[in-house]
Amino acid sequence: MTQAQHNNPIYTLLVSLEILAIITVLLVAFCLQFVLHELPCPLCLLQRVGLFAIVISLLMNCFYGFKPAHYGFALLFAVLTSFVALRQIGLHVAPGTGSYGLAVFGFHLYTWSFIISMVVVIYTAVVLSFNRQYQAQVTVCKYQKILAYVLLSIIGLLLLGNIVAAFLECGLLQCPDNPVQYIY
Amino acid sequence: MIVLIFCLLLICLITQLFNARKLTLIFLTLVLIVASFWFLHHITNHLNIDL
Repeated sequence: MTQAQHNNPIYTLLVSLEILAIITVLLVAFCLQFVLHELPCPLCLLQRVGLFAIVISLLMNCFYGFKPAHYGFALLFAVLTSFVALRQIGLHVAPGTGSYGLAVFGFHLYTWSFIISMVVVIYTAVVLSFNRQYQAQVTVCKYQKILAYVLLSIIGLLLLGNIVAAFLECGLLQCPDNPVQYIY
Repeated sequence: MIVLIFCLLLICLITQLFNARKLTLIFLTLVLIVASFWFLHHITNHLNIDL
């Protein structure tokens, strides 16, 4: 292939949908934190870090073209997030150990986090297996760049909000295990 | 500590804004290492075990 061609819009759409789904989850968690005064525990914050990192890894496909390494990072972060969520499920799985936070549709947020990270692993593994997206000399066209910048702006704002909230809750030191109020 | 990891993620986003792919990959690797060690530290701290 000698001529440069644009990224196939189908793959951009598939990745963008995954990014938007994860952004929605992060937005819901962030809103719950303030609307229902649900302060995130250290493990909850680490799960948020994992979800943000998945989104940033996938967003690299929109900026630099589709590469297996970008999907690889997304998978690694999804596995890390699932381990953290599983650890938190393990803390509350025994009868009488209670739970942390409220339940949404019957599951606590850490259980949802585990389910979501498993869905991300499966979805990313399927999307990365399409060979045509890795063709040489593929360029990113204008509308894909615009979409990437829009997604980046949303993620940036949400990330800034989380930085401020985490600082208000924990400061620069380690977060308390069961936070009940903001320290600032 | 968690604020530091969030800041590393913000740096990843900023490097994407400047189309610096290698820098983005380096900072993502850093996030992965720091977050993993923090998680490992949390487990060993709470279970009181030596790995």
